[in-house]
Amino acid sequence: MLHIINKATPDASLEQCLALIDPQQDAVLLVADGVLSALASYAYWPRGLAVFVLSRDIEARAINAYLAPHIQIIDDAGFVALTEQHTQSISW
Amino acid sequence: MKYALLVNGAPLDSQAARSALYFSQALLAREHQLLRVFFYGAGVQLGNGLQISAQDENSLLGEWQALALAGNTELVLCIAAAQRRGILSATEAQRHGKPPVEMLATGFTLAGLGTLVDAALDVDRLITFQG
Repeated sequence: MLHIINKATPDASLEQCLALIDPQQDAVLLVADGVLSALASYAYWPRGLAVFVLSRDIEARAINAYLAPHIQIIDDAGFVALTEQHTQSISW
Repeated sequence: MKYALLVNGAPLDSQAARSALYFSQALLAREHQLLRVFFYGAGVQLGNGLQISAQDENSLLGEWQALALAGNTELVLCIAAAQRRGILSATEAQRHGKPPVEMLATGFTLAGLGTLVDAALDVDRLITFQG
């Protein structure tokens, strides 16, 4: 399952998403204001969970240098690739 | 793979329509099929053909129309959401006793939620872009 989050914390969507997530199988993609949760100062990601951010959206917010180390940066083609790998997605 | 998209966010007030456009362009570049994009809620404002973009700005509407041509993609506005926002085809306007102005942008159609359900059953992936 691919979880797509487009809202900045504090917003209930990320909390609800993390309550349901399976870190072994699921992935999180942060887009739009959701990318703010990729900042190193946000430390609540479950261990082992794959977290991706859309490069265009971090560049637009000038936060490239401040991301947590385990966050993976992808472009639109990478976004499409994630939807190829995950049969289902939820946009929170 | 066959894809359909659901776009819920208003084009000028959220990133939804622009993010969905970039995703769609990447889909076509990876040789996927994009059968239908269903605009729902405030997302229907993209299909207002009377909108005018500043000359020195990109036209989001124009880019979607170009994408639909390139991908042979159906652009569908939820008819109920469109009516509530006054986005009517000339025939719909006349049917409701309004001046018969064609507000629907070229390349867009009005249809019910059933077309979203049809698309969901027909495609391999349905991706939602929230506002």
